[in-house]
Amino acid sequence: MLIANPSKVTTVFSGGCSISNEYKCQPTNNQSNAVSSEFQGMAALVVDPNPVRAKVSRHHIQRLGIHVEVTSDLNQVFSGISSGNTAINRVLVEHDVWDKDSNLSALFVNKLKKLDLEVPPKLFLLANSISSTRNSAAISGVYNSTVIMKPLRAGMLAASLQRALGVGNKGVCQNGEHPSLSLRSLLRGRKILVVDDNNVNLRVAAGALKKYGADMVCADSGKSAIPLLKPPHDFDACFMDIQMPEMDGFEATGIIREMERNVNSRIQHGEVSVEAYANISNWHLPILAMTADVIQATHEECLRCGMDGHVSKPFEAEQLYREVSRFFQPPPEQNQ
Amino acid sequence: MERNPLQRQVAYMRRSLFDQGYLDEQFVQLEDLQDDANPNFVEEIVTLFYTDSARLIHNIEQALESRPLDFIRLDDYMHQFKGSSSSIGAKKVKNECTQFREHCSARSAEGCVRTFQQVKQEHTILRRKLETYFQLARQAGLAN
Repeated sequence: MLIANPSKVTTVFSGGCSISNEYKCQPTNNQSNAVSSEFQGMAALVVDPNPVRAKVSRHHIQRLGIHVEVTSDLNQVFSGISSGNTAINRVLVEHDVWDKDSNLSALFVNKLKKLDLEVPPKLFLLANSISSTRNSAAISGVYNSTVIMKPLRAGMLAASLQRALGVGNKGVCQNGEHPSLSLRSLLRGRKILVVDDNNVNLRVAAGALKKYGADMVCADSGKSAIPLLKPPHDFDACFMDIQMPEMDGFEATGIIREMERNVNSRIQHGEVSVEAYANISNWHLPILAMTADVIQATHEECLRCGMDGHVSKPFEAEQLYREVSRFFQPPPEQNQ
Repeated sequence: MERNPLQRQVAYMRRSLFDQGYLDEQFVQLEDLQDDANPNFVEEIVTLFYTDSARLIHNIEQALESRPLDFIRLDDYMHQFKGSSSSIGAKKVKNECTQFREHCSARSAEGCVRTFQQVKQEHTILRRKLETYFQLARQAGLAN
């Protein structure tokens, strides 16, 4: 049953939500208190033929204080909406579901538009990787789309929903908004691996990331980082120091990409099941180089070795935001 | 907010550390990371720095004694040292590290030996100043 609150209904499609074994029950800091008050009174509809998966998604969303109903059929969504006097303002779509039948998706989008709603719905994509979201670029032209990376984690889900609650933020700091605040919304709940052989740097990075609400894990060498990043894992990003003894950041990244390529190819060829890899078929961890001396040549070398960008060391808030927002909140029109 | 004399003294000392170039913006970033959850963050980091750098200094001293000098190794050590110094905003120390590395590139043994003395000197001066500063801050009852 949809709550008869005219402006606060969220529909969640989770046809392919992964079940994460690493799901954390405790958000850091006082997130849960702040977050659930914002979402109170909202209702969501989960559309998922898989009852177990749906239950997990439902759990995630309920924890935010949102009332959740489950249905297994897309069409039932519309019968529920048109009969009630509710308006959907947030729609979460599982990327697989969206891609599987583009006709159905397009039809759905049109139907949503045709509903006489005060506020046009905001569309969310639940995605496994950045590249898969490029294919869904068509949607972004229609609505402000936000990508929520899977596996779902409470903090991240809350942060994404919260951002959509605010003025449409396309990955750029709001005018006058302090970068730390934006970083907090980007990084809260994310699991980040920081690789640096320097103790002091690790400690400072830990302090900064903790302040932004991220879950940070440290590794003091490329060698110790590699087993942590062998798929399947649940890291959202990695900050990698470049100059380290024994194995530098470039080499470590190369090895990690090789591992990912390996897994992706085996999944593709059916040698292993995608379920064994958290339902992610395209593993690509955002890896940012941490450089003390940022020069152009280093930047190109970073990209060549499979890194996704770089940040200076020690972290500088605005630059960090710029880099990180490319992965955690890609602007709809951006070609990465 | 009415400051007592001790608090004024702390503020003054902090100001002069910046004005005299001992500390840079990065130190402020550390201060920003200090909060109720991490009330002694800055002092903890600085303490860690000095523990860590003691080890590095020892390594460099040893390396400076071997002949011929292994400039690559020296540069590696100094890269570490510079990185740590940078992370705590130790401006003068960092600059001396840069100088040292230039002498490594130039493969100048004399230059390395000379600038290393300067590195150690700045390192020690800063430590004393920060020790005084933290002690004063504690007495003044400030979080920073």
